[in-house]
Amino acid sequence: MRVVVAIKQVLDPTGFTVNRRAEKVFVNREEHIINPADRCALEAALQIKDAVGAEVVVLCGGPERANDALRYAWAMGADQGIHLTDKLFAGADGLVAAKLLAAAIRKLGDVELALTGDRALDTGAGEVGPRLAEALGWPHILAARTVEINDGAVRVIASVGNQFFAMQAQRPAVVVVAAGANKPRYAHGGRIMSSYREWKPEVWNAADLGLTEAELKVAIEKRGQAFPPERQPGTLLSSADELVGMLKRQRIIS
Amino acid sequence: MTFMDDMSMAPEPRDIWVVAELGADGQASPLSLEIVGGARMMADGLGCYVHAVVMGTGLGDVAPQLIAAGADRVHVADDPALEHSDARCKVLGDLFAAQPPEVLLFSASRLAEDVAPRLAQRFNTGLLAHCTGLQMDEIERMLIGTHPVFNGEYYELAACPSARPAIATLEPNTFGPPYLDSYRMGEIETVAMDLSGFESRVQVSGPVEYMPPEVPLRKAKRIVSAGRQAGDFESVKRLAKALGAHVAGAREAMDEGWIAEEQVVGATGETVQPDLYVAVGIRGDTYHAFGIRDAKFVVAIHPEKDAPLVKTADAALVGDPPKILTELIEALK
Repeated sequence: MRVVVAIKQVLDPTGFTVNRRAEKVFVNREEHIINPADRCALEAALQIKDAVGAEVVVLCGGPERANDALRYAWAMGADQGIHLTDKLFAGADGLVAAKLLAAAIRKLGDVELALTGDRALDTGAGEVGPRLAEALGWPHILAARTVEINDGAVRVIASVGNQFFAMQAQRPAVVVVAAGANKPRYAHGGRIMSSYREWKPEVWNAADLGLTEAELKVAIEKRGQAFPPERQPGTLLSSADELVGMLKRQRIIS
Repeated sequence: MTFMDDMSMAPEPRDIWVVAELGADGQASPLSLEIVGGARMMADGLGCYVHAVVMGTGLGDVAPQLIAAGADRVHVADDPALEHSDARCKVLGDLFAAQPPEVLLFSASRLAEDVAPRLAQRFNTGLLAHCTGLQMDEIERMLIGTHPVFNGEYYELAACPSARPAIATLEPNTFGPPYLDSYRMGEIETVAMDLSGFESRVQVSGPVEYMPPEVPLRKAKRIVSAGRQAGDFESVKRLAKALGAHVAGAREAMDEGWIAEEQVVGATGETVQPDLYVAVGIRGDTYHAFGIRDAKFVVAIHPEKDAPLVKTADAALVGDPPKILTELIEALK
């Protein structure tokens, strides 16, 4: 049984600081990590592999550095890794990302389950999972905490608000895994080193995926940054209601 | 039939459409009314109409509320099958294929998380998710949304220059409260749909019991922390429950027997990086300050207004902590 996991890299948030007064982001150390929610998706896939012996294939789009993410995934226990890279993929938004992943999954063939994390640490849109399902014509399930294979179906415990529900869909399906759903296993250091010696991911570009430049045109363009108001230390409030109002206005609680 | 064939047969994209949702009371949700109000303002600037779509059952009173908030036409889709997101995607997809919106707005809700991205992919268009700000550039006729990145460290502005419909999901307080005018006139239309043979591809049952893995203190998003002057530790625990927060404390709280070693925050304990840290009765010394230096928003609740933490916290409430906590728990309901 073939399970695909779509992962992406995000800028490590411990490497930059935000100066609200200057309205600038200072990148002290530019490093990328595997998006935490995607690591949970990968862990869920590996648990399925442990349980029923599935083949886990990891897809990652991005420049050169995506190679490191794929090697880490292999060292965690994935069977195969595919690096999706092309000049035409630069600046890809959710629309284009879903097209790439769907094309790769169709090219792979025999995929019964696609897993991905619920939100990217950077954009936080949470759109790629359902977009991918639509591009493939498959059903999707959001906010999965546990994922199990059962006959021809996939069984999930998913959160909705503060509660949990049991959900089931026939395969093939896309399951979007919640960040924090599980504790992803660590890749053994020695195995990460081995990955550089004895393994390498496959590399697919736009032509391999059969995608034209017109199909890869993005719909969303970045237009700038905005910053939260400056911290006002020592702001004395006069009532609990005032505090709750402040927390809601600053979107710390809803 | 390819997507391009669909586009050449469909009319030009026009108008601002809002997918409205119901609150727990079966009325139009406050956020939906706010979005319809915002759509009204945008439509007046662009010279177009506002449509609202509402799906579910027992929708009798909802359409007039949406008209009062600014909708020119409300499309009502009434069918029990619409509790399934598969059915919602189908009905909305068919509706928008026949009447393509220029702009399509959702609440940033679970319904939208299931439906908006699928519709965006189906219509080969962009999605601006979790917007805290939204504007229409009237010269270029382009939607621009502001959304948080890295959990609100800062915000990014993103535009949808040419793909249509431009789709956005909106957080509360993006537009402010709508002006409700019960004398406004508008049309109510029933959405034609055929859900007779419909079967959802996802079956849902529950709720079920499930214990998620424990989040360690250093990864907790919200923390309520007790110090010597907290007074009543029980109210600290109640506040934590009301906020969905972890319970922690300064080292003195462990000395008082309220918390265990693992819950101590400070240079000799855990360093934490929550979105919200509420320090109850903690005076604040350098050890504790070290532990919370990466907290996004610190609230100090303490009897002394000269306490170090009161002076450096983002917000402070000075007074008797148990009393303040009782008021706070009440205000959070």
